[in-house]
Amino acid sequence: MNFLLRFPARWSLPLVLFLMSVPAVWWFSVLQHQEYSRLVESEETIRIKERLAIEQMRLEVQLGMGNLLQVRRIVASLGLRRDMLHAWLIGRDGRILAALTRVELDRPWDEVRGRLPLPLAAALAQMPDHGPAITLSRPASADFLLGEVELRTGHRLVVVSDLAAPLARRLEAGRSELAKQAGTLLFFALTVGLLLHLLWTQRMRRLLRAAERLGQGDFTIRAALPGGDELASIGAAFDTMAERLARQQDEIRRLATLIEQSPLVAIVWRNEPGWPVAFVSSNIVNWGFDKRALLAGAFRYVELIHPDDLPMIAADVERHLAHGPDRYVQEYRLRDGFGHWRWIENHTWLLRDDEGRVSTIQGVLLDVSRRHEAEEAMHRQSAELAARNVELERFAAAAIGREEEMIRLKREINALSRALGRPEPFDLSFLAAAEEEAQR
Amino acid sequence: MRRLIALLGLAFLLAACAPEPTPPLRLAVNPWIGYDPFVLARDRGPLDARLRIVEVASNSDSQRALANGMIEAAALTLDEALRLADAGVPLEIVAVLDVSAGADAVLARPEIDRLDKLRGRRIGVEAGAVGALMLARLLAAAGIDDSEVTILSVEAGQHVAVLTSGRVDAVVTFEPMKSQLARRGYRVLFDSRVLPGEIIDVLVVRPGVDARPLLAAWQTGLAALEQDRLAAAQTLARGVELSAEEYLDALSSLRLFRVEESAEWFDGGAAAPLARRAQPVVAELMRRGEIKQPPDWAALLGKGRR
Repeated sequence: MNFLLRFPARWSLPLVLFLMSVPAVWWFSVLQHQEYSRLVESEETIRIKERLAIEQMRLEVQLGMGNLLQVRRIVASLGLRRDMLHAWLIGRDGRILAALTRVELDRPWDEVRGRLPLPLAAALAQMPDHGPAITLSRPASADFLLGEVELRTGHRLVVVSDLAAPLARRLEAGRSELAKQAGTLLFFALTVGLLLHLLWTQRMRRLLRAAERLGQGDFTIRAALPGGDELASIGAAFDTMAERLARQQDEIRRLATLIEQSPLVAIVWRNEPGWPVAFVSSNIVNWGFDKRALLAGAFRYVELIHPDDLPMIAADVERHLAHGPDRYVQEYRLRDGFGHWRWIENHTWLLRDDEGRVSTIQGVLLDVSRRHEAEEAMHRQSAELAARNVELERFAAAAIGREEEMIRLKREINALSRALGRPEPFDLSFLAAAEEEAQR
Repeated sequence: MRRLIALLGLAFLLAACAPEPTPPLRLAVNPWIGYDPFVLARDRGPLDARLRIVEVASNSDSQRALANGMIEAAALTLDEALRLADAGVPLEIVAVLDVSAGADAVLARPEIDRLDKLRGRRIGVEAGAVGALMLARLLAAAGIDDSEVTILSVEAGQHVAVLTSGRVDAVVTFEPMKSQLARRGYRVLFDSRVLPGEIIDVLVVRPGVDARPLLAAWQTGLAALEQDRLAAAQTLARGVELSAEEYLDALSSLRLFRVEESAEWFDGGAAAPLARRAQPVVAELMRRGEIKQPPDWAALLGKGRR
């Protein structure tokens, strides 16, 4: 059956019809042969019986008249029947009185019979005596009919008629019929093939070409099959699929563009030692990597992680693989393609198979080196500010002490002045407002 | 793929073109001993596998079988062949087999010793056969009108029976019945020696039949007969109720033709020797209204001329 799948449908369908017609014709011929064999035997039996009935009457008349010449001619003229092989009129003395040939005349019946081919001689020897009734029989597996009739004069007329020739003629006529049937079947197969070609295979080829183009990535292709049959429905479904794929492709393209233009790097690792990279977005080139070399396994991902970070990262990954959770974030240093260390924020999620084993590790890498640098700078500035603040506090404490000494001196001077009855030289009213504010 | 379909198609064509069973070539011969070389060839064998030589009871049987399409060939007298052709039976004359020189005769009861004594008598003859021609010649020679005799139509196989039983007074017959009756004392009043070359026996076939196996059988039988006439007579006489000597005597009253001798009678179309010799027969058949128009010799002798 797979043999047929090697051919296009426009050939295989008519071929299947044709191949199915061959055993059908063969089987019909077998049945026809059996039927014809029965029919020929039946028809020949009737014909010979009818003929023998006539000859029985004619022979009895001529024998009664003693017209031996006419008797012999009546028997000899049985040879006009094209299938008559032998005819003998056997006298009461057991000698041949008349036959199809003159050489058998006057010879003993046993001698003539003994010279015949064995199957026929044996069949003739076993012919039972049926009296005046015409008897016809076909010995088992023989291709001839035996006929016998006993005349009132005591003579026996025995005939042998061929069945092979009439069967051959009937089969010949049947062969013509078979040839017509085979021709009709062939014509039918070719017509069906042509119709299928016109109705189906042309559109199937169109659909196939569209599918091939789609498979090659051309999502703009449409089958646009005419009609309202199943194939047209498949074509419509194909077109719907192509449209959806085109939209998805557009979205993917946009997404890919966004990713390419973003600092995010999409990456997929296989859960294998060394975490070989299965996919990485093209913007990895911005980090100095050759994407194809990375995918080809030119180096393992773990070799890119800073040696100080790797133990912690590997242990963390092993823990997530073993126990989850399946979404986590890691930060580590990665040596880029230029040989520089980058701080990477790695957002990871794990994909597991039906048995819970991690099959794929997907992640998005974000370069956070600048944030780290900013944080380090901020830490440095905070330390400087803290040191300066200590000095300032120290300076402020010194300045406040001196100011308080000055206020005390001014208050003493103002007290002396009031004691002296003089106006106070220093205005210290702001101190009263401050004390009042402090009390509140 | 195309090759496979072509092969399957070819197989079907071959199956459809399987050879048809070979049709038999059946030749009917009546009791006339001039046709016995065919019988001798058959009984000595072997014959062409297609050929079947069948002995029938009378000239009429041969004509009926040919007209009805039951046989492909027949041995007939020329006048019988002309009657059939005129009646529209398609046939071709392919050979001259023999010419009667006394083997056709009128035999009568012993007391009828002159032709004129046939007046008022009953005469048995096979209608539509060569006997009718003989009878016409007989009555003309005797000066008797058709109305002065009673004509009974009797087929050849019955000639002996009807004359010996007294149902007729005379019979127009031929060998071997002539010798059978002569042996029993019946008198020969008239025979074909007075009609030299008029009673010609020919081999006819239906158009399209290959006559070569027939001619080969004739030549074989004739050669066997010429080689050992007595042995041949002993074989053939058994079927015609004659002794070998009687058979040889009967045989001497006709001339058998070899195939090459026959061919000489076919040269010249309408002027062929056969057509020329047939003129008296044609004239008599036309006078009696047994044929309506002169024979188309070109069509009749087509194969024999070749």
